[in-house]
Amino acid sequence: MSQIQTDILDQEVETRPNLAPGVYPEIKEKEIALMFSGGVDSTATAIMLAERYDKVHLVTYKNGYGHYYHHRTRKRVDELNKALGNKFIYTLMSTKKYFDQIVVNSVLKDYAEYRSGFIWFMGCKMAMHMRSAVYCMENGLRYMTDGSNEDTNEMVEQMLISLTLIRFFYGNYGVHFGTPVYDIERDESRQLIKKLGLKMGVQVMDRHLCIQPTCIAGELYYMPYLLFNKKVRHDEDTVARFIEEKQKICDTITRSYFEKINVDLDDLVANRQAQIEALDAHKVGTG
Amino acid sequence: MGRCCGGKNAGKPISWPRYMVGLGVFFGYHGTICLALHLAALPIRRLRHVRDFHRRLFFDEAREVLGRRDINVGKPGREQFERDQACLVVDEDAQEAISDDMRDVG
Repeated sequence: MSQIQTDILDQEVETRPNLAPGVYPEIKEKEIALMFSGGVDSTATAIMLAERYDKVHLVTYKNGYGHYYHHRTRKRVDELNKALGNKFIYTLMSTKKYFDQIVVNSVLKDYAEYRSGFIWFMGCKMAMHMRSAVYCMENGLRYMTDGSNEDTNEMVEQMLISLTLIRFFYGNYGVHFGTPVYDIERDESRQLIKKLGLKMGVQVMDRHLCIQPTCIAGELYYMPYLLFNKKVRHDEDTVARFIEEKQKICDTITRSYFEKINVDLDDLVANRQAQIEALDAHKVGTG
Repeated sequence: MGRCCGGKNAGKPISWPRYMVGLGVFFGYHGTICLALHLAALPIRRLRHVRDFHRRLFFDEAREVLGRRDINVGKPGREQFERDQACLVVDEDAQEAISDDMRDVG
């Protein structure tokens, strides 16, 4: 059977497994986390990571606003576990309350300031990244990844500037963020999935439908690009300014998250950094 | 690969029938969501700013789609050609170095 954690949703503070005041998880070098939807890119990433790591933590999020069909992701995890020998640990979490704080509560003000609908998606993704950083800290994971790909860099959260800034955000918490399939051609990813005999969904142009959750807001926003080849206007400076502004909110939420369980965030991060340095020194020492 | 300028298909010409069908899908989908949010926001107060945000975005996008801004219906024009040329002026080496770095996960 696959290893699937119960939906944590809004009870996460009460259900944290590995943390207590002054008790911090050991860094697991052979485990890695991946933000997982079940789509082509994240599935290809999962397959690649499974070759190098003993366990891959797949994390999926619900933002609470027109975000449906998460059972598709769960089916994909089952397929992967069956094909690759139970290497995947799946967790579904809600980011709604963080998403509310980061963007939804101020969406009209933000839209007036940034003049683009990207605020919704970047804000949503930042809530996910923030929760992922917390997940890594709770579970002693050193690496966080996602399936961002250059082929779909019209999406604001997959622009290089966004990924670079997000990487700095993770770095503040001693988490290393990477995008292993960033410049891998989609056809190569498709082949990888087909080779394992996993479902490909319904292919419409370059997209594969019915294998990952549906985001109504995303469909609406990127519709002009998909229907009319209309250029998606995401000015890098504006996106960077937005991320920098919202990152402060993410930091505040993260700090308050750990305060609620009486964990000193600075102490936890320092502990992680010390463990990572020791592991790296050991690697150098053993050649 | 879509290095810049809003996606790898951005600005590619589309036919008039595709544009017309696209308009139907665009207004049908947005219109349905607009109505659904309007009705949902009557009893659920916290959805009101989501409803207003969607409405503003819808109107702004609709104006651009109807004005065919950044949409190339028919043959590629000179303006599009110039935009494509501008896309080529990107520091490929710097981009490459950053994406190599992003790929690294230990």
